[in-house]
Amino acid sequence: MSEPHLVARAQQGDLPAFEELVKRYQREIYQLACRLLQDAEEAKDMTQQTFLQAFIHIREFRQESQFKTWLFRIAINQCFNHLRSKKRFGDPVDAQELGLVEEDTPAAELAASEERDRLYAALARLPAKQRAVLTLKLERGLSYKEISEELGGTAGAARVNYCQALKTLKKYLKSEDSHEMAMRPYTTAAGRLSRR
Amino acid sequence: MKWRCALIQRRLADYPDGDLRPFLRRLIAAHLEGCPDCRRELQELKEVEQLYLAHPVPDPGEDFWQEFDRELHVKLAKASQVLGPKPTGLGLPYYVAGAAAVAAVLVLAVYLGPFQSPAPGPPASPPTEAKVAEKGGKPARLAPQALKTAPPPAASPEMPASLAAKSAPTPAEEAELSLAAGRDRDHPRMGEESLWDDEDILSWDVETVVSDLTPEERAQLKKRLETGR
Repeated sequence: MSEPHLVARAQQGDLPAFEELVKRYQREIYQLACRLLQDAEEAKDMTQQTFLQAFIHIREFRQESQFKTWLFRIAINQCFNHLRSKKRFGDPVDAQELGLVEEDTPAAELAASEERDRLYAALARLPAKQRAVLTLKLERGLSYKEISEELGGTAGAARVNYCQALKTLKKYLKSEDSHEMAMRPYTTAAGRLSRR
Repeated sequence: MKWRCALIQRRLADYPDGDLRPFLRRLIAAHLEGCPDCRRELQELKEVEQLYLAHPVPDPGEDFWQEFDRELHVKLAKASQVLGPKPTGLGLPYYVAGAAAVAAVLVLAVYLGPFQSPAPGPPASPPTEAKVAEKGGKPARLAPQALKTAPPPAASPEMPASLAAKSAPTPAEEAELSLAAGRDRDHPRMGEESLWDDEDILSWDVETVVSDLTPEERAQLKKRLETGR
């Protein structure tokens, strides 16, 4: 069944139709929430909250834009509101808090996991809006105009945010590299132990 | 020129496959051919993008999504009970529906209300009787036929008793006379003056009335009036 038909039926209160829409977008919403919140449990809660809010307000959706754009806008607002309430915009986060690194990782994958750690640590230092722009631009391949429709603002502002995000991320990664070179014996072992 | 490098590096993130106008794309390409710093900057930006794309958020597994769907279904079911079914209406705002209802009431009031033209009244009375009424019931001359069929004049104190008695018609003649005159003496019409008003009878000029009769006819008429036949 096509998406407009599912949306129309969901607006009539058809719960199975709405759950079909949930299955289509739940993974993308969850990935976006993980990128923004840097926490798996919070990302799951915010993803469910996103779909709950969408179900409550779906009768107000007038199909002037795509349902996907409207849904992602709700997800971004929910995540931003959560971050604002918790005031955790710049706290560094280890990849283990995301639950993404298993304890029994083989030695061959340690390099990859360390690289991932560096990336997530650098991402955590970015403002939430720049993280959102990076996710929408690189992972979903949206244009600056489409990004502005989901985030708000103009396409030019989205382009500036993206360029600045890349440059800042590059700078943090370089600084992480230099910091890791200096603190290598401590970071790899003590860092994981301290966060368990 | 570092200011030129600063301007070019602002758009390096969109080079070469991004949202760039052809003019800017050619300009950046020409600059990169002669600027190693900007080439290195472009290379580093591309590495960051590749690093980002190389480590996407991994899928947490089917167990996670089953639990996720189960919890979400409970929350959506509770919300569905609270919201209730969608109201079946035309979807019009209340003020639009109210304005339409008021306009419909006004249209019906204009077409069905007291603003209609009054119904045509009953037909007018026959012109002959109206003309006679206007003349005051005073015929200037009577034809012989009219004289024979005219109803008898009402009795008055000034009228000679012989004439009044003799001129009284029989019931049959009375009916014939009244019908011929087109008027029922017992049921005169409202507001209509009697053709045979007592004053009119007394003001007749006998000579004028019988002027067209021959002498024999005058004698016969006189005789009939005297005998009452």
